[in-house]
Amino acid sequence: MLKHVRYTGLLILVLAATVPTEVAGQTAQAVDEIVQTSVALTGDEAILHVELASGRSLQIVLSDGQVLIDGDEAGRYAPGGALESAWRDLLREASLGELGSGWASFFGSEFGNTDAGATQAIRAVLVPLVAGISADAGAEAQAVAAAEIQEAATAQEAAETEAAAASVAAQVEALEGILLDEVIVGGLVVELTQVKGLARQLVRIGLAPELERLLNGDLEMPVRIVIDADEYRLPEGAALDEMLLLVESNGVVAGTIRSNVLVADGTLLILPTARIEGDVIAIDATVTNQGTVEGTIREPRHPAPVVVAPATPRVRMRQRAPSALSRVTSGLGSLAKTVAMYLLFAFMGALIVYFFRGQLETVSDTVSFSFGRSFLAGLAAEVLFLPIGLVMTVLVVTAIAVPFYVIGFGLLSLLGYTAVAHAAGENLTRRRFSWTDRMRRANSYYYVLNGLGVLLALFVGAAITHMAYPLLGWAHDLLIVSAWILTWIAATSGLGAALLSRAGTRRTYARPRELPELPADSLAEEMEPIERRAEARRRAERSDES
Amino acid sequence: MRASVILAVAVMLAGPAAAPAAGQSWRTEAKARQYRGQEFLDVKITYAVGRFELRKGADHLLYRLDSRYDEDAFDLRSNYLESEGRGSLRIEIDDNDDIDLRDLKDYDYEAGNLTLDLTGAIPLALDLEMGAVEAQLDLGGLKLRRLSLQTGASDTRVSFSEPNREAAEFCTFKAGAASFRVDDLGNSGCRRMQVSGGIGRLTLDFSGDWDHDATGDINVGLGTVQIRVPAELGVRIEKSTFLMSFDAPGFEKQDGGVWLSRNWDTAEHHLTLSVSGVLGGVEVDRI
Repeated sequence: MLKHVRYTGLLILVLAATVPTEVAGQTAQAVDEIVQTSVALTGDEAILHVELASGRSLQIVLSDGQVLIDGDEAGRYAPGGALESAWRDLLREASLGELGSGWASFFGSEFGNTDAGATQAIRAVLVPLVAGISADAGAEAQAVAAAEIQEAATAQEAAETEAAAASVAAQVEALEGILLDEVIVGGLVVELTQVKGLARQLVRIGLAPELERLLNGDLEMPVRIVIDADEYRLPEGAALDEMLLLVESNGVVAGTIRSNVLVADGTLLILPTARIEGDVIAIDATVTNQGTVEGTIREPRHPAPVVVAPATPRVRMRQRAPSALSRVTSGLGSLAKTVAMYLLFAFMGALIVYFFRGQLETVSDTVSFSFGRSFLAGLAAEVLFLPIGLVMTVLVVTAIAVPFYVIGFGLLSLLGYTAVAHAAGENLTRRRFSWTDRMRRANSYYYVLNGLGVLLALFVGAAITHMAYPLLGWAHDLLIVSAWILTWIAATSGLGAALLSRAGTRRTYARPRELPELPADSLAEEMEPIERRAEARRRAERSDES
Repeated sequence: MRASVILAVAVMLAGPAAAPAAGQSWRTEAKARQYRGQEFLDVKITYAVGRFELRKGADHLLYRLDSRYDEDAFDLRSNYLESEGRGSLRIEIDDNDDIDLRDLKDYDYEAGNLTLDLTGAIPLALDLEMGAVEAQLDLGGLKLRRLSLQTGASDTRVSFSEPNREAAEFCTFKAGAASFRVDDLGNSGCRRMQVSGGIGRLTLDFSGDWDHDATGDINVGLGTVQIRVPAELGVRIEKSTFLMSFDAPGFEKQDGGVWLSRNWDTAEHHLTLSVSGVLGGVEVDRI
């Protein structure tokens, strides 16, 4: 492990010394400057993620006894031990935006043998970064790191280190040779050049429009997909003709991309020399643009949900219209539901008449005599029902009353609707029957049953016309809409009347109680024989006197 | 956000019974980004449940966020994009799909928090959406060009402790079922304001350094609005309310539901407010 640490440190030094400016990017002097520091702390993880001005990033994770640097294990530590504690202190300082402020303390701490390898690995990768923040602290740290490496090295390890250095130098030379090609560190690269078949499949399953919209491009264009790469770099002078998809990868572009770039869950740095001729689409990603993007840099507000449409069958069957039998069956079903509703309301109405007849009649009179006022009161109650309930819920004192509030509202609505049925039935009786019949039928049960019939008649009509929908479809639609509007008006005005009359206990807005109305002609008919007899008697008396 | 509001209401329902829960898995996340010559920052924050604090930070940092949340119940997503010197920061802490509403009564939701420091060096546009959040926002010293604040069932305190270093074109405050208070609105630099409240108490304090005229629309459904205006400011209130009491001592009633402060003709700066509401009361105090 010590060897690995030394190799890493040496690699950094060699790269810093030998990598030409073009490879290091346009901002060579700021290559190690920290642009963003991210810290995440949980019970068993402590993560530091830094983004650098060069577009590179570094992640150090302490998790379950393992130290991971950019995903690779770099050492082990004792969970809950000195290293973890110092690391968490350092991250708390870093969370304030100043990685350097806690560095001296972390660097000066002594750790046990268990943590030594991991400590050195962390220090080796952080020294160059912290040096960028604090020159003094960095110089000191570098000196100490170099001394540690020198002190720990044996002759054999020194020889291995030299060999490793030679290997790195060779790699750098090779890198110079391919300077104008992409550099991809780690990860998986998928190149799709023959994508017509894929595009056809996407069209078939319904994904094509969504992807076309997202990528603002042609699905048949070749695509370069880079997945989980530590770094993707397109140097200055290099050009990429394919569409570039960076997935969980960090990209640095200094060259030219002649299509769109999509970055998902990663970072993209567009250097000043870079030119992207298409759009840049970022999904959960950080994009820093210092170059030229000829399209737009877009961030889908929410990653577009991919809606997979049902696959289009090769042979489309025309959907058959419902048969006459099914329409009749459906219509009969609606009719049965309406009848059931009628019976249910009739039963509840009968209970109300039996137990609360006086109150029901008062509410009924209120809705008859003050219909407009009742309707407005009911409308206001419906509008305010939810806000008042919410206030009651929010206020702790009244929260307990919320169930009673809801139940009370429901009972008032039922009373109101039944009262509207009562009023409708009473008015119908007055209009349809002669005075004697009226006297015979003048009871609340009869009114409620009749009124419910009136209120639900439109639903019955709608159910019947549904059976002949092809002919009477317009009538069905009209009836069903009218039925619901009528029901809403009845329920609203009934509720309002119930409220105005305080559930039928006040007759403030009800018509005054009337004596039974006696039609004049009927009364005359009733009185005629009596008068005739009286007249006959008077005549007899007069003739006797004469 | 709709899910957040539902969650917020559910949390409010469970609020009195809330107690520290054993099964929560707290995660602390912090991010700090250096200021590197950006010219503008557009910030949008969506926060479902917890405590939220926003203030001016160090000028060398573009932003710094510090959050603590239950990672079993919530997700933190933060996104920063930058192009041509204009940065765009999105922060979202919202409930994840795995949350079980039945467990809400055990949630110590107040232990979750989000603190955001923003640079005062460059102009900002702020768009904040909050659910059941206890929020303390000190927007003083920032360079606010635009402000939009929307809260659900929350207790929100906004203040402008220092004058806004930019002229804000438009400021919007929308409060749901909430206690909502804004202090030192005179420092906000807002030329046009829109304040709407669903249910609850709104307190709008127009103190501060007035160097401009402003107009505002205040609309409230159910609740009370307290408006505090400095004595030296000329104030005109156009009232359009239904079943709302209106109390404005020191104001003169004009025709058409208009009330004028006595110094309207002589005041250097003017504030014109249009107040509408359904049920509750409006109090206007001169301070």
